[in-house]
Amino acid sequence: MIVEGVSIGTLLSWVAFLASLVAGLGFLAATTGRGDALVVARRAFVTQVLAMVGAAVFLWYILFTHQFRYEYVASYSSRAMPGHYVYAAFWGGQEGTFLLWAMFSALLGLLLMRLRHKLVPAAMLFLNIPIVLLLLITVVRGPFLTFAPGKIPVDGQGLNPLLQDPWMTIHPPVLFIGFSSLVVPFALAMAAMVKRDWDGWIKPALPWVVFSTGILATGFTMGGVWAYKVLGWGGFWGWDPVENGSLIPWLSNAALLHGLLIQRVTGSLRRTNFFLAITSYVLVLYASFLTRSGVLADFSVHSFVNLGLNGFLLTFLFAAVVLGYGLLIVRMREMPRAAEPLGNVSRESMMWLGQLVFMLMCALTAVGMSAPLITRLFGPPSNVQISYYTLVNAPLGIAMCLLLGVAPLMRWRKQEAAPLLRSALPAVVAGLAVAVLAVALGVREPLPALFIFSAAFGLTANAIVAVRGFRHGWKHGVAFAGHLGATMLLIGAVASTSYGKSVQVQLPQGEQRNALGMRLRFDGVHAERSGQDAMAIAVTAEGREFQARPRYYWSEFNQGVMKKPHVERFLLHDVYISPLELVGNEGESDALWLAKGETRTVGEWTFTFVDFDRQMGDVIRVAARLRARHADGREVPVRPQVEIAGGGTPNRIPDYLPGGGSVLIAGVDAAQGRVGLEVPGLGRPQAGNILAVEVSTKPLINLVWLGSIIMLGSVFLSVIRRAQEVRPQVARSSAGLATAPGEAQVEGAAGR
Amino acid sequence: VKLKYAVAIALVLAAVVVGVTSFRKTMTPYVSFAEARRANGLVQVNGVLAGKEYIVREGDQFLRFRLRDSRDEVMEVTYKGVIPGNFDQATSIVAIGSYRGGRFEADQLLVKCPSKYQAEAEQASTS
Repeated sequence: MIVEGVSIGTLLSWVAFLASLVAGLGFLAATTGRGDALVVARRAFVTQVLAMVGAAVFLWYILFTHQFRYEYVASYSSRAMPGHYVYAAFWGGQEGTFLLWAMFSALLGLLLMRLRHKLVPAAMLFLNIPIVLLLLITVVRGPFLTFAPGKIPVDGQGLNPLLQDPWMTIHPPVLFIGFSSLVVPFALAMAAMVKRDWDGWIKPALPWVVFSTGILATGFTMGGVWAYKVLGWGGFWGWDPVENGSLIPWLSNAALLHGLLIQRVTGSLRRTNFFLAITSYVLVLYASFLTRSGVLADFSVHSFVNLGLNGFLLTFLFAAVVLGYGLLIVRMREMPRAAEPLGNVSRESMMWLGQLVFMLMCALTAVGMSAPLITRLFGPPSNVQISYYTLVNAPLGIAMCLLLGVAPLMRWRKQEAAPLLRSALPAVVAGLAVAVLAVALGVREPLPALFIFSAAFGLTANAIVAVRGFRHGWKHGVAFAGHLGATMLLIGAVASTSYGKSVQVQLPQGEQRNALGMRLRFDGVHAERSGQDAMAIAVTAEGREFQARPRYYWSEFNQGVMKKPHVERFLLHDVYISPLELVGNEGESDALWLAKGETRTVGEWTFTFVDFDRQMGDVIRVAARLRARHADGREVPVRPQVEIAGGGTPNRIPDYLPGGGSVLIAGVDAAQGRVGLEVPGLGRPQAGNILAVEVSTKPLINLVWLGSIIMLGSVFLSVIRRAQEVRPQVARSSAGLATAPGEAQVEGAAGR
Repeated sequence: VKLKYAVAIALVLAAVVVGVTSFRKTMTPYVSFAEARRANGLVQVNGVLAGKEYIVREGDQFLRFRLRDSRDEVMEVTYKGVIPGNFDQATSIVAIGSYRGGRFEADQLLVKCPSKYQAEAEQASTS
């Protein structure tokens, strides 16, 4: 697939880059009055999208066909990788993510381009600029670089097993759709300022802003589920720079969302909304500079490597800042003040305060994640503890919950005090009741108690308004349902992170131990088909008996021990068992030696060795045919194998017994026709092993997941609602654009 | 003053006060081993892993490992929490904690996971 040293991927990248330049010039001409340039610009834009999709398909093609002459393929995939993770290697490295980012921006741009709106040509011009820059990276340092002949590796390095989780494979592209989508409100705002159309951009921007809120939150949720299920430290949000980096644009975008709603009703906040639309995108660029440039390398669990793109990323950021804020300053004076000022005590003034709280959270979080850069100016670089983020965001969270509870109870423009007190009473009572319950259950500090009160108040208020709204149709209730979900999530987050119990215990094999009122007994190591061995722990907790199977295994890729917690779900809490270390006698494996036809019993199973199956070739494969009979009379065939390839270490493939337990070939005695077996209850793991685990409870963690689901469902319903409002302006047909993926989806959703 | 502006000013002031005090309170300087031994309060150090054991005693268990810094100095660190994934193969480990009784007691470990970005590190260093 290499044409005179240039791969199809590189070729397509160049086509896309050049087409994006043409599209940019075309949209520029169209914006400055040459309407006929629009046709060229649109065609060029479609061309670049097709070229990018082609490049993406080609990248997947070389990944799936293991073409290790491409550095990228060799770096992020391997032959041994399960097929359903190979596709995720696309975004395993930075080069791929730049391509992904450009492609998503362009695909979303196609949707924008279909809109019949006077701002669209100018908006496309601004939307196209980041794509040009991202494609420039792809052309210069894309995923299609190849090794020099003779230096091509035989196999790739593979993907970290930590990342080989279904949630983790879709989490990055979802976040990238979110980051990319923020370009649309940015572009529409820029176009509106250029065209002096101070209010016209709101309607087309609104569905996008809601969409960004939802898709980024979906990304957070996926990352959270992954951290909780896989990483084993017991939380779902760690205030890591990468997490903060995606949170700050989200906060700014959430502020923009509420600002647009205010402007739609009252016509005010024009400057604020332009500012927020620019800021949201600038923050995406700032966050990607911080997390990709290596400046935070010593301060994050993620490891970042400077690809030599620092200068580029800074230029990108600088361009957005100068262009965006510059235009805002230039246009600031021309912008007429709103005819109607914000009410004093009214729904919009509460939402305005909510915006302020969002931006304060955003600013303080950004300051925290930038701490190494800020402190470097004054002395040795320092970082803030994780507790900084909870310290600053908790009080703001309380204010937020109170505001989002009180705002829906108010009327637009002017709210009288008496009816407000009447309508707020049930929510206040419910909030107090929950807070009292929380105090009774052990919440002692004032701040968390206040937090729980305000969240419960917000939840109840929104529940009441949502129910009332849903009677008039789903459109009138979704926004409140979304807030209900958010407050539910917050209650779950506070309860599960601050009020769980945690204890570390040692579990000597076969002995019973107590922890947090539970009984635990470590029964030994179970070999698993996946190679990810499980620690079998028999647990009795609150009348439920279950077998916990946290993972603890050697990873060839990491050259280290990997661990994965066991999460046992109850209605009101989770029991979270995280393996710390397995110590003691690993043990030489005592094998069970059987001659042909011989039968022996170990534990509950009786094994009979039938014969060997041999297969010669490059790889010598020997299988032992066995019959295993359980004490209860069941009999199953068992066929463990061993593979020997070219003098390397033999690869032992276990077979499995019903009900758990594995059979492995320990050795083959060809001369006497005997086979040595490792079977459950014999040899490894031997008594004397001690498993150290951390056992903890996560109260009300289900509220986190339930709240997320309610919130996300509501947000995506709101996208449909807001898209329907723009719909009359959408062109029925646009020639040549019908093939865009994703388009049909939104189109179909909007048509419902 | 209108109510909304009063609330807004109060919110901003509160945020600034809470922000500044929290920032000061939680700041952990990034120091060398020698400085860590002298320092009071929380600091963070980093180095590469130079041996580790998991200690299990009656009623006590912790990870004990040694970090080697760029000056080839070695410091012993203990840690009681959940050990981060990829600890064994970490290119470098950041320990946040304080020096007590002859060793560094870490409250938190950050591991440069040789995750997806690792391959680039190797490429970058060899090219």
